[in-house]
Amino acid sequence: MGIKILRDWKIILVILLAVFSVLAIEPKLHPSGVVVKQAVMPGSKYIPIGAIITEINGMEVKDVTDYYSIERSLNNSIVYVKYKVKKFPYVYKTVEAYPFKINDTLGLTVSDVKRTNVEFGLEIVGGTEVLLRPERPLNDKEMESLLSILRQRLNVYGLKEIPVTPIKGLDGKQYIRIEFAGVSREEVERLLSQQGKFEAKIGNTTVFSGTDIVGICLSGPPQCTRTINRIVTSSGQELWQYSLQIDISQKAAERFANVTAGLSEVCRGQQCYLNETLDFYIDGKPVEGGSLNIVSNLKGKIVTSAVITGTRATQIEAESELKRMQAILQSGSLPVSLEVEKMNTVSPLLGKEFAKNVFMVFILAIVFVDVVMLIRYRSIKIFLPMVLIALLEIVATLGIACIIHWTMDLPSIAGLLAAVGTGLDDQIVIVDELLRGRSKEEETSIKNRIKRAFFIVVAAFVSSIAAMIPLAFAGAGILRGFAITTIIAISIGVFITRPAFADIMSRIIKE
Amino acid sequence: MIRKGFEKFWSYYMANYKKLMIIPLILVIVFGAVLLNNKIKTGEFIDKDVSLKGGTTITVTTNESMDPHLLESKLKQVFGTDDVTVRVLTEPFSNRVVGYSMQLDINENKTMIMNKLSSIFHPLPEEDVSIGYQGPSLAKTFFHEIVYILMFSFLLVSLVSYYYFRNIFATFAIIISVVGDIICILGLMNLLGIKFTTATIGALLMIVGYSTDSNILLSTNILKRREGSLSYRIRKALKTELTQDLSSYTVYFTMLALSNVAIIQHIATILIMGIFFDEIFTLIWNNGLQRLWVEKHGD
Repeated sequence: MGIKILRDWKIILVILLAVFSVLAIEPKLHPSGVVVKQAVMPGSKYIPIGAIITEINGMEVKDVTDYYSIERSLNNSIVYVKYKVKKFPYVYKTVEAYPFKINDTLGLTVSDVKRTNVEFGLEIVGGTEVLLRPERPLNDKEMESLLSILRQRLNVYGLKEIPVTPIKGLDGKQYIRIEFAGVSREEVERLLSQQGKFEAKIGNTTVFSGTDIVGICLSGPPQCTRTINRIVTSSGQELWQYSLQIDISQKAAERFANVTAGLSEVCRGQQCYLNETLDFYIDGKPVEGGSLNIVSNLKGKIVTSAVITGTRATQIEAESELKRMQAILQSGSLPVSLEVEKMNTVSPLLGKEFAKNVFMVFILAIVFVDVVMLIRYRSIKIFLPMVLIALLEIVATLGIACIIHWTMDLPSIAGLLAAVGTGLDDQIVIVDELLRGRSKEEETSIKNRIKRAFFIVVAAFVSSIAAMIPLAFAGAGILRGFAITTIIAISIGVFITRPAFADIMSRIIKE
Repeated sequence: MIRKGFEKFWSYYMANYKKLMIIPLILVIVFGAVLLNNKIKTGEFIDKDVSLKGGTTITVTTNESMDPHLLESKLKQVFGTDDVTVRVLTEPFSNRVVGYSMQLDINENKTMIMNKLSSIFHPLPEEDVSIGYQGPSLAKTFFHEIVYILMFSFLLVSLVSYYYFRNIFATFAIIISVVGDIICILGLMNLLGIKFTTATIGALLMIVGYSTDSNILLSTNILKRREGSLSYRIRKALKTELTQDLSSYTVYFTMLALSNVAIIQHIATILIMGIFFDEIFTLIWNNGLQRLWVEKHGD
């Protein structure tokens, strides 16, 4: 055998596959630095998203804890940031950012550098997955606008780079899948499933709606109103009130003038108000605390700006409500209302347990099965290629998952385990056919033996693939991970690793 | 010892292949009756879990040890539903409790669920709780689609085997044995109270592939090849198949015993059942059918 085997194209292909997979996965023993996930001013001007920050003001940044403790120590100062940009797996270019001045934050959201490029699913990293269903079928244009509105709403929460993907079920039903970390179910439900039809009414007359809004206050005082204040109601209850200033169109302002002109004045003490309030509604429901007394001197006047208010029990709730209001007003209303069809929240803690367990099961399953094979064939020469090829199939599947940015969720991992089982079965068929062909009863050429083995291997492959393809699309892709991973793994097996395995084995068994 | 036992089994197996065929026949009748009985009693052949019926799955990570039956009745009381399943999560190799996975037929928001749970678990930090909700309409659609996928995969298996053997009889024998395998798995799941979940589908489809593989291996040896005697060929096929099964059992029993992840345990359970029934349907039923055919038409 010797060096000659390296000239075999099947073996070369397998070696190339191994190298590519490792480069794609890019395992790191001691990951260091923090990756920039999101950026706002001032950092966004100097440091690109995806950069790995390694040093701030000469201090080494090993992980997120380092980063935040360094950031806290900076105050009204000039910062010198050193970061790395990936040019190729394992090849990074170090860049020194132009020194810039900060007040209290760099404006970056960072995360630890991961050990590998494999993206793990929600069940392992923790987070929330939502599947939304539009109440009626949408055409492509409507779907597009729906997606862009959803993305915009999520952006208001600082949730950039959130995958919002349309999915079509086998039955033609449309779904939208969103996956993110760190937002509660209630928030998501309110934010996403609300159609967001905004109305401001005086009595029963709509004065203006979402489409009349031409501007929203983003900067806050002194330019415009965007505040959270503690108020005490007449009954002595303490509440938090948010106020958000908006600009409305000339037409809406004229409508306001017309409606208010017909109202009468009511005076309480020194303050005089109109006898009807300006009420805000979202999707036909009144906004909590969203009733405004109109100061009497506005009667019949054309006013192009208004302040929307509402109250909440706590400051945090009021802040999030303000953001939600902004999200809804900014993005406009959704073309349809959405139904939450499926929602999954996994705590990061549980995810860690999962990951540890799954990893251990993988290793032990392979070790045990190898021991069994060693006992069965009693030959290290047969055993070693079996193990190596089985491991390579796992690595290559993960490598391809990295390249196509496939997220390894729990069904995917189960699929990978199942595929390892099929891979071993095929190897057993190949070895047994090769051994059989040596016997007196059916002496036949190596080529013929391999052909026979592949007859069975390919038959099993075709039937598995055929079953997995429809599974990938069923039920809005609930088991897509299982299907795709199995398809990837068994395809690698049949087209690349098993031919090479047969080749190596035929050399070993001939000897 | 193993060798001696195998030889004994082998001579009985070869001589009594017709008699042995009664075993798969009884299995199909018994498990078929179990499924029918369930259909009559509940309107469904097999009980589905929340992933296919709609409902909520809650996982709580805790070291607190609790009687699962007590927990179940508490949950029933607090959430006001009778459809509750509780699974205890333990650390591998030990009985140390790491948490509970609960499936309930409810649709409530997180705050409500947390409030109700805190009367059962104390303390209950939010980061220890994971909640999954599955709407009933998607679940229903998915289940219907699965039935089509299974039928589609049977059709494909028949096409593949017909293409391979150009023999309607062999195709028929393979399909019967795959269908028999699935009936037995579902029947046994029913008896053991294992609910049908989305993960079951993945496992069943794997079994369809696995079963086709083993049936093609056997049929090739009985119907297609001519080298050596029929007995020699069957023996070789049997040996390969048992080796495959041994390796699969090793992988799946490891998954079952050491994983505390529900979906992985579930898939492993179904695969183990499937491989066991596949042995019976391939090695006894299909083997018997095909040998009868060979007897009639000659080797």
